[in-house]
Amino acid sequence: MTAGTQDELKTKLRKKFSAHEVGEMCCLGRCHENAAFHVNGTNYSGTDIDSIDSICKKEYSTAEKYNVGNMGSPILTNTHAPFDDYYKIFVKVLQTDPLQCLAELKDSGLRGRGGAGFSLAFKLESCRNVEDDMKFIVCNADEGDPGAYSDRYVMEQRPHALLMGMMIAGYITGASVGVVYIRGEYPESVKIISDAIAKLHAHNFLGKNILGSNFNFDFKVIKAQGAYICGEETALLSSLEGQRPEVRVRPPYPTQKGLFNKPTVVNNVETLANLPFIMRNGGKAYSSIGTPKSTGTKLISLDGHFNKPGIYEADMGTPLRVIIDKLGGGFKHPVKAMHIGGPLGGLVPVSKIDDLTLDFDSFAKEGFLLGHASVVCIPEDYPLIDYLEHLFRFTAHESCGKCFPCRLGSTRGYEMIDKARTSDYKMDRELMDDLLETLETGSLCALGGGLPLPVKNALKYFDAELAPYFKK
Amino acid sequence: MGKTAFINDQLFEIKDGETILSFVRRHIGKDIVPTLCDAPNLDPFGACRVCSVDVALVKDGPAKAQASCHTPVMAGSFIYTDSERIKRLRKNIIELVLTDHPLDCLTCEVNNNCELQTVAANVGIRDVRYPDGKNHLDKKKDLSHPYMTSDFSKCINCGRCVRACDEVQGEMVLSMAGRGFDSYIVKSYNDTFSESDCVSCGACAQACPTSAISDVFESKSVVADKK
Ligand SMILES: Cc1cc2nc3c(=O)[nH]c(=O)nc-3n(C[C@H](O)[C@H](O)[C@H](O)COP(=O)(O)O)c2cc1C
Ligand code: SF4
Ligand code: SF4
Ligand code: SF4
Ligand code: FES
Repeated sequence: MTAGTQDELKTKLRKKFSAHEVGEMCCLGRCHENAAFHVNGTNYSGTDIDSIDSICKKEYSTAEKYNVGNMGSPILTNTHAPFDDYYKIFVKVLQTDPLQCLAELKDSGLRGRGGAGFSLAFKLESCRNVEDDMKFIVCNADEGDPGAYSDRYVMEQRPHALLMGMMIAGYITGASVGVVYIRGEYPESVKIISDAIAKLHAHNFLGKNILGSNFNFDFKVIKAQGAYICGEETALLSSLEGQRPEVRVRPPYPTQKGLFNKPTVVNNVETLANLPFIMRNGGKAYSSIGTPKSTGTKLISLDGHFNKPGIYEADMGTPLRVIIDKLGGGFKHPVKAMHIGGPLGGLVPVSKIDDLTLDFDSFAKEGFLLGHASVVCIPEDYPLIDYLEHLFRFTAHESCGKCFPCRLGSTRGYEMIDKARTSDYKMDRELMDDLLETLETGSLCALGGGLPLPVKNALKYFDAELAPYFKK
Repeated sequence: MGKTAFINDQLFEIKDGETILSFVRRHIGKDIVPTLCDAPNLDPFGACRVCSVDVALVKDGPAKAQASCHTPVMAGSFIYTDSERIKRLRKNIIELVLTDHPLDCLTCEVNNNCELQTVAANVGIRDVRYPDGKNHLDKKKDLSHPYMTSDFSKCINCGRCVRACDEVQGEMVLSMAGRGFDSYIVKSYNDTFSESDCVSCGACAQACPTSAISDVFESKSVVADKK
């Protein structure tokens, strides 16, 4: 069951299961519906709970529905060609010089969709330039951001866009193994991706000397049993090696020494799924969509506070207001802020909506973060101090424990806020500022380093609401 | 001159592939930049972050705090070893460390020979401002072994012992378990030293910056040193 939700759901489940059989799980990627739960390897949500009897008899499959929509020039959500036609893109790639493919990718300006917005062409090129007979393409499908389910959409609805994307990345870099690291909470994705790989085998698109070329490639699907931090690329690699998911120092970068010390490219699902479009239409066609510095489209996950929750695709640069009103159908009830881009993204007050467009630069300029573009609403009547307590608690719980600022600071911040929330203790603003600065400038990775952003946004835009918790 | 970079606006020559820490130590002295998780002969780990320095690409340009022990020097960069911001960062990190450390230096075995104590004094900690919270102060000592002892209430999770056991001794007896605030050092399968596969080489005790792991024959006590 999804953590911290729904007593009603628990009561209904308890009718079928004993207390020790009902537990709590992390985000199941069902943010668009409430009442998410998980029975014997399958996820359910929404009204599924009312069919709990047939679920237990394995007669029922989820009636999950979410809206999918788009505007502008959709790349991922529009209908894709049937299998044979679609893979003509790959057949053509195999007849093209990898350097030419790389040049198209450079022209496309495609930036990583997993959070940091790093150039994909740059990563592939640096991996390509390292000599090694073993290289890996790792797809980060750990989608841990609460509120994000767009990677799940791609894996379940557009599995071949992702798989072909990884094959193209392999062709460009000279990697022969593609690893899809899928979070354990997404069993349907694991199944659909595995079936799609089997289909590729059946069509001889995988293996040695694919279609008579000198390109070798095959896939491995890993069902991750990890924590949120396993989505951080170096912790992900440690986890793949069977070690404790601890963040590593960089350099060496994964493209130099990644999985098992071999050159490795780690990319997000959505990033890789854009490759087939670029190979078919050319880099310039891609960069003509969006803004000069944030090219292409972006998937957006809207949560259940919108009238039309769902997965939407819009051109980079689309005004945020248009996304909220036209795609999301507006808010269902009064909302005071939106947490955009995951737990480490910014807290956007509704007063800033008209200043933002959907792209990396607009968000950065206004002091927020586009991240993975998941949108989680904070209702008008939800106390922000509770939200801050939750953010610190989340970070403290998910911290890998390696670096001092995050291991100690996230827990101390949580304790301080909790104390102020539940007693007459007042926080010292200077101490809070020192803590945020320490996390932001000192942390080894973006978990500890990213927490201060939403907290600072809250302190800035909801100063009056939070003032009573601080010393005067 | 070959490749160069600036330390506090003075120009120095870089050795190929060296870290900012070794560059600074070579040219302007060993005690300029404090460290806790770094140790000679061990791979850089990047945990404590007190070795951070400011690095700018142009003079007086925007600077980024970078951990000097694992960041290579970039030719032409401007390194500032103790800007106000960096001094604040180091002090605030040590303050956090002291929220989970017994404040009993005077009776501690390694009093006056403790890296944490030295760094704390150098960064100028006056008090710990955080309210009391969870901690590891009641961790039991492990006195099961004739030579090796541990008192993990003194442990600062720097991971030096783990790397020493692995990289120096090739034993991998010690490892870090758990996560976040609850991470802790385990010996083999969470045993005591006597039940673990420890070969009593003492490498971990030598690497430990505090008195969290000790070797009875190689006490780091200052009194013992003088004998
Ligand atoms: C705490 C943390 C969690 C992360 N989780 C994810 C994730 O679930 N999925 C993802 O693609 N990237 C995640 N990232 C970002 C990855 O480290 C990495 O930047 C990304 O996979 C690179 O792919 P891209 O360039 O295609 O975005 C996370 C980063 C951090 C610090
Ligand atoms: S910031 Fe947190 S999660 Fe990242 S390395 Fe440091 S302790 Fe680990
Ligand atoms: S004394 Fe034991 S635990 Fe310590 S480094 Fe040697 S073998 Fe490892
Ligand atoms: S026992 Fe010593 S060396 Fe090991 S992590 Fe703790 S403080 Fe560091
Ligand atoms: S000495 Fe550099 S991070 Fe600890």
